[in-house]
Amino acid sequence: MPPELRADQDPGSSALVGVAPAPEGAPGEDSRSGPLRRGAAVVLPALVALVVVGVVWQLLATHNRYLLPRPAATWSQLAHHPGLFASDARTTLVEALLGLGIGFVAAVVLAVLMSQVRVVQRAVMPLAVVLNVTPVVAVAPAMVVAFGFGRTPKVIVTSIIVFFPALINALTGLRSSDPRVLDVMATLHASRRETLWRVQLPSALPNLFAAARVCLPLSVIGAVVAEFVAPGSSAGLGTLITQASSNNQLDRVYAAIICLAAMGVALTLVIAALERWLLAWSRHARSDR
Amino acid sequence: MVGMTPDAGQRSEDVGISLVGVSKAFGRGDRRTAALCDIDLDIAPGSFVSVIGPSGCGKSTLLRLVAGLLTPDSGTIRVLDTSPLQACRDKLIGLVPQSPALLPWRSVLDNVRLPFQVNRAGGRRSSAHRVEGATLDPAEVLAAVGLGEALEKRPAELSGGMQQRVAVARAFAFGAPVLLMDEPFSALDELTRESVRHRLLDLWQAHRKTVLFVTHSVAEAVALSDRVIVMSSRPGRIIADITIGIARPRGPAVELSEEFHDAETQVRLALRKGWADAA
Repeated sequence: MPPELRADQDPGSSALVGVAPAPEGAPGEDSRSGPLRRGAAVVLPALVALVVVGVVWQLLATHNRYLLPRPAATWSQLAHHPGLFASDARTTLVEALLGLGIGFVAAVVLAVLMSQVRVVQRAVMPLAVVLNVTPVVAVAPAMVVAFGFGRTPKVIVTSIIVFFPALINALTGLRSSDPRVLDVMATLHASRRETLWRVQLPSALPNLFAAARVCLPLSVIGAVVAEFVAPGSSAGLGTLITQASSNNQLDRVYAAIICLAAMGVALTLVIAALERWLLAWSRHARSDR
Repeated sequence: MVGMTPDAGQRSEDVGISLVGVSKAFGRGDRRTAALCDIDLDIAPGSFVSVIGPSGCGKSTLLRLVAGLLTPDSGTIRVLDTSPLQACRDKLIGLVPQSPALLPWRSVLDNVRLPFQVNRAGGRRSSAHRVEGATLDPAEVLAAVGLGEALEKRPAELSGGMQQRVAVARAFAFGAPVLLMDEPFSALDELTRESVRHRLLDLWQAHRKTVLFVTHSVAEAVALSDRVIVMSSRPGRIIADITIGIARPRGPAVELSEEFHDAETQVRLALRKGWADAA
């Protein structure tokens, strides 16, 4: 799957770190040599690294046939069973996104409450910390006992794993409003709700996007881990990996891993695009400071 | 010397801002330090009064007390014959803080519109106060401070001086009869300061509001004000109340006149006396 992997190199080095990604290289197509060379300078190192990884993989696989499948075998798995991988990927994606949505929204709502009412903060924070330090892998079996083998335990595990980073980032963001803007709002006797909607939440947006960038990969981890523990529904890439490895189908295991990586990349690119669109003002403001 | 102005015996409805015996301290126990000590001050409606003094003399505290952002330990504060909090409820106060404090995601015009959009009930009540302070068209005010071309720009696209002019326009446009300005131009370079100051003067001369202006700059205080209140530090108290008699309207040329330099010297001497007493 060279296209996805190449895409992986770009966001890996740029979108995740918050530097403007690929489109910088895109204008290279309009004929002038300057942008073209710059585009090549961005893409070429990533391409070389990719080829190196491919070669090393091939060499390792040739000498360890029972530990690592050859790239070609992995590729043929994907090429011959696209329906299988697509449907399992969809299952995992839905679990991850549902969990992400629920965990993220719950965290933001709670962060708003905590920022407004001190008692809520004092009550919730210790619980949230306990939830954060509890290994989610240990929680998953309990969820399966409670909620069965369907989608519910997976969504719950995913939302738990996403919840804490989202909460902390949202809180930080809500507290990052310019105190002088808050003074202006106070002299206007703006209500709490007005201050929240017009100042605090928009100020928190950069932090919320930072949280989203952390939580997206976590949500895929959550979904896969839950599938490992509760494979009963016999769907999802995690389940596929468990089954394939117990049947010694290493090529299928690696094909599923590549699907998961591609899914992570695609989700990260979506967030990066949303962020570029919604936070144009933030980039301006940052470069101004 | 303290606060005895020609307005002292006026009727209460003629009070713009009044402070009587106001004290404020910060911290607890041994660390408690007095920021302001027994301040009496009367500011007539429609007049421009500057407060000047060394760092730590409590002039920003004074302004925050009048804005209702702090409460005094003792004494009373009245703004247009109501408490500071009621004045905020009725949207009588326009605050211009030290930094422009604009919302970076809003256009310049939308930043100036912000005060119109919050606490709408307060805007209706403020008209009951029958004071100077009709609302102005945000775009017109921005044009008056030289930003007619920048209405749709984001704050980050503007220079520091332009941003501060937006902050002034925001406080001016929504019709508050009282303006509180806390060293609004202190982050600007000297030349920008001067031009922003002239814009403010033009705007104020067109729409008289009661202004309490905190500053470090003697020239700024003299150029803008009807009165300059000089404060000394630790604890902050008023050591001089100097009336600036320079005729209005004042233009940039005034700052080159003999009269201006005399007034400047008077303020400077009062400031020095404050240091000498403190030392």
